[in-house]
Amino acid sequence: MKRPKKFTLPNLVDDLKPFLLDWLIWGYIAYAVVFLLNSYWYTQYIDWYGSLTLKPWGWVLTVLGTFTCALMSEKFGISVGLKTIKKVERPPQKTWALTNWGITAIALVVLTFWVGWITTDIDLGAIAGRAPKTIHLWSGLSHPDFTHFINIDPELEDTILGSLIDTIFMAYLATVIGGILAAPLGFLGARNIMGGTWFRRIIFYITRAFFNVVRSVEALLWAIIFAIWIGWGPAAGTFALLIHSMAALAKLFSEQVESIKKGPIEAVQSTGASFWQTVRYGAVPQVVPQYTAFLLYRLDINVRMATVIALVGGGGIGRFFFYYKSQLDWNQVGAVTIIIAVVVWILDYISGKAREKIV
Amino acid sequence: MAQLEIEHLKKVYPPNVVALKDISFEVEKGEFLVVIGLSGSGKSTLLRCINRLIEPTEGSIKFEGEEVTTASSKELKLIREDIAMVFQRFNLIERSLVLTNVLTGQLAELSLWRSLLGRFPRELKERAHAKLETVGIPEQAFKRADELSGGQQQRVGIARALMQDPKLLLADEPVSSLDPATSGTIMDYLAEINDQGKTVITSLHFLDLVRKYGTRAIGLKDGKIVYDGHPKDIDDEKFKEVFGEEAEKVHIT
Amino acid sequence: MSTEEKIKERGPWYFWRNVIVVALFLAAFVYALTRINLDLTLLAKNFPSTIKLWSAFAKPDWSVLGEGVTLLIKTLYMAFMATALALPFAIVLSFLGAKNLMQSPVAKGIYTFVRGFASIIRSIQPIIWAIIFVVWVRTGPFPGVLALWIHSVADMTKLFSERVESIDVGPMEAIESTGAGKVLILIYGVVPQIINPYLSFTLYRLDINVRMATIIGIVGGGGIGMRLYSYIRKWNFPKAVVMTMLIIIMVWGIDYLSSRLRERIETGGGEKTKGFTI
Ligand SMILES: Nc1ncnc2c1ncn2[C@@H]1O[C@H](COP(=O)(O)OP(=O)(O)OP(=O)(O)O)[C@@H](O)[C@H]1O
Ligand SMILES: [Mg+2]
Repeated sequence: MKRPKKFTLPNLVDDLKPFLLDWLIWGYIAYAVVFLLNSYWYTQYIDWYGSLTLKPWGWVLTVLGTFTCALMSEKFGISVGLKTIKKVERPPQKTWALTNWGITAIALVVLTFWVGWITTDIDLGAIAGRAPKTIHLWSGLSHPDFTHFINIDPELEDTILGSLIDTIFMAYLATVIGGILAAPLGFLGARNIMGGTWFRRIIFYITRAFFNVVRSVEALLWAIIFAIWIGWGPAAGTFALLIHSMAALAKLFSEQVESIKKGPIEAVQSTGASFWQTVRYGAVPQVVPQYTAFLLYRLDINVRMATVIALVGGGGIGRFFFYYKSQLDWNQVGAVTIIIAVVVWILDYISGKAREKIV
Repeated sequence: MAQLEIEHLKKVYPPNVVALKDISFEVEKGEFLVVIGLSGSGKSTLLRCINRLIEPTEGSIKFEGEEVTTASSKELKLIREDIAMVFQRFNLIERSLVLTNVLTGQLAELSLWRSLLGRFPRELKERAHAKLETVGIPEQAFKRADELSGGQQQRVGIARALMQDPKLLLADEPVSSLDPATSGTIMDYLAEINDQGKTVITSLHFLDLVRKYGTRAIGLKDGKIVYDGHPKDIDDEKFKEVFGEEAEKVHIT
Repeated sequence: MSTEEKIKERGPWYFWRNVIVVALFLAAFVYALTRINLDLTLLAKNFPSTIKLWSAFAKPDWSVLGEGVTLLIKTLYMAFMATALALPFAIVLSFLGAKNLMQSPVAKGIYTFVRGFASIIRSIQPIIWAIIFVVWVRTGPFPGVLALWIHSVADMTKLFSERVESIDVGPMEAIESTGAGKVLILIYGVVPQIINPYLSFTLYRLDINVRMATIIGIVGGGGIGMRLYSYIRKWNFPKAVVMTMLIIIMVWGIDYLSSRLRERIETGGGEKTKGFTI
């Protein structure tokens, strides 16, 4: 049942895709080459930040040049785009690294690595050269000062233990509330449930976009917003973790819902069970164990995040860390670091074991 | 009145795949009816139309005098209580306990809140254990269903069906994912159920199983009945008719 | 054991255990609510304090777009460098940290050391590592890369080792039976089994590093986060909003690409199995 290929817009886009990918690759190669040429020979086209400031004619030349290269690569049958997107068979006798695909991949990685080395100011000499600067840090870590673990620090008006408990409860609240809110969102973001009518589909896309945007902003940035909103303290941190967890869990939940199998549901239906009974026995068991595992994993992530969220006013044990660090009190910094490492490690271990059991 | 009466049944999958055309037959109480036919001939479609897991397009299905095709959802539930189904891929709820899987056979008898909370009455649990004993795996009750082997899972599937205490058992290729020896045991259970006076309708691929267990066979080809009679009467001629010329040499045994 | 006994064993006791667990969770929840003082009304009451922030979304200051894109690219490079530099270390350490490969007494010692160290390093957030490295090599993208790098090495070592621990011994024994040495066993018996998971984990880690790279600037680790944070501190929300939008686009894009690629690696180019639809 092969229908003749009609000329439609989606078809055109599909045909263009490999070419665009080729062009993108050539464009990137040009970017990297120009960047490298500039940083080694002329510095006139690189500004202070290390970004390219080509003249207009340079841009035109680059765009035209890469366009031609992309066209040529299809002509000479070395188009990576075609191989990637249309999955043209590659000759089996060649080793992977010698195919066009392999060569391009290697070239891209090498170029990226080279440019990255320069643009991120990697300076291995500094690691050795400035090592003496860190001596007080290591000595602090190796002589931790635990005085304020159970004794109130007058400056921060709390004990480390107290803020540690805060940290764990912050993560707990964020995970539980976020997890509960994520479930309905996850349903709205599941393709199989929201695929029917165009109205449902619009809700689906809005929900997806919402939790993808929220997820893309790190909890630490959310904490800045909530600190502005309701003032510094553990509540702001909890709200930040909560909203980020909610979005992240909603995505995972929607994927779980999408992978529900029809068989068990039919089996339950065929016994004469009612709708809610079918949901309870056919659908829920397919989702809940995995979701519980996600929740445990999220709790783990949230505890980690909660240890540093104080940096932007989110409360928790990080307050002590950043305060002592600002006082250059390395012995106490060492103590807090050790406590964080131990607690996070224990929770990671427990959550890992529990997850193993559930899934 | 026969237990199951099917008249002019037709099923068209959208957009225009005709899976069943004008199927009519009757099944008496206590029969062991085997449906045979090539892959894609419409066996699964037929079986699933009977308990309306698939909506028939046209025709009528009467189960114990009640019309299935037009039953309201409430009536359908009542009808489904009397028709159990066993699946090729078992369709167990894999992450739930074996016992819970068996208990789902009884959901229809349970009040909603009890079933939502998972509080099954004691006598139901005892019955579930008894059914597991019937199929020979009483010791697996508290394992998770996905920890079991294929044969064991199908036994759980049968126990679940038995839990329903059905009048009719539908089994869609119950042994196709199992090895020959295990297939035999599973078929023996079906035969036992049949001996207790329950009607069994099953689709099978192996002719010797059909001959051994069936009291009647229906051959489907392209959604039409091309054979209806005793399994022992399927000779080479009839076989060709059901499975086509090409299948002649393969001779499905 | 009779059926009777079995039902007893899982009977009321089982139910009450669940009740107790749920009760404990609820108690912890209520206690946490009061301890953290999580007050939803506060969100409504203090809403005016964020008006300046939200209104900035209505009129972002696009003059920083160029600068933002440059920093975005730099942030991507940071994440890439951290991942690329971590990969070789993690690969070597993953073999040393795999229980099934490290059997002799000396090897067991190495195994314990590697895994213990990886756990400790992993427990400390990259942002804390960034603070340490800022002290060490001064502010800029370099300490950011180092912070992401050390955390990635530890994290990938753990993931990789667990993968090595779950390999099938069959192929290894087959190679061993031909009289091949340790290195050959590793290359032909182990590597083919782990190469795809390793690739997939690396992509996953790249994804995480991109996210982390957006915030590591807050403590001086370079990248777009550093500029974003300085705008926020200057209360310059129209500019901060542009940076945030750029971050969202980049993280979303990388997340999408990384998950698509991983899917492809895990399914070997085949289609994802479809669930049911309503
Ligand atoms: N959900 C569906 N949508 C569309 N067409 C379908 C669907 N299910 C089955 N069909 C078609 O209906 C016809 C009959 O399928 P059916 O599954 O009943 O065959 P079968 O005899 O059970 O085959 P098998 O032995 O492989 O299980 C086939 O042509 C099939 O392609
Ligand atoms: Mg079938």
